Amino acid sequence: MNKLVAAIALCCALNSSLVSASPEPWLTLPPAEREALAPLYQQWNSLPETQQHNLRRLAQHYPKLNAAEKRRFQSRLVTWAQLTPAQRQAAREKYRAFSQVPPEKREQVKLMVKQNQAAQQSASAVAPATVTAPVPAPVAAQP
Amino acid sequence: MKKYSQHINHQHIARLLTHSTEQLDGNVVSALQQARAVALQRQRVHAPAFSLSAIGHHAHMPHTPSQWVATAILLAAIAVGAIGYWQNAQVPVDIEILTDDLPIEVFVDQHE
Repeated sequence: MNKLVAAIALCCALNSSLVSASPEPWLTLPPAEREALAPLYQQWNSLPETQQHNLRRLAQHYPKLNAAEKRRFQSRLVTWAQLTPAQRQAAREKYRAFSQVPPEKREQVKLMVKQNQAAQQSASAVAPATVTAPVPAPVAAQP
Repeated sequence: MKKYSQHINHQHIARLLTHSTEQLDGNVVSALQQARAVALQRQRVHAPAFSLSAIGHHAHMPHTPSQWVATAILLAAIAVGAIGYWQNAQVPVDIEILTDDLPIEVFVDQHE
């Protein structure tokens, strides 16, 4: 019986080490993880330990990405880290649903998104830069 | 001996035993029945052992504090393992969202 308790406790300890690691200060991260998570450098130490752990797991895949994927990964990391767990879960579900769409329709959607992005970029380039003069603070009426 | 052992198989042994028990007199049979009843009675007196093999077969409840502790630790380990598994299962999707050629805004609803 004691052996059973000890074995279960050991399994529990191993499991818990997989699920939540102790919080890691930025400077103690391995160089490869620091490179992957570089956009989060400033906010890293204030992130919850569970989120740190999840992000470190993502960082372990970073070396396997190609150059374009690495660029996208790093450019989206801050946005991803700022989402609530519910928003991240909703995004995963949307992504999974989108993965079920037939390839030709997926390509159509991608094309539409690219055209939309290009239109937005050209519109912002054409629009004149409006400089707003600072509004002077109202002066209190002197009695 | 070798020749004899070739003839002995489990059916042969069973036949021999059946034949032998038919030869027993009434006293021996009743003594054996009594001994069997006593052995079964003793087995019932003891608290059933709590074991993993009992799950699904005989759903024994834990009896002693150490069994309760073991059960609690086991359930906690299963829960923690399930969470770890679930978190690991999210990693490939997260990587795909972060590296897909569609922008992340397509999948993220900022107003939730």
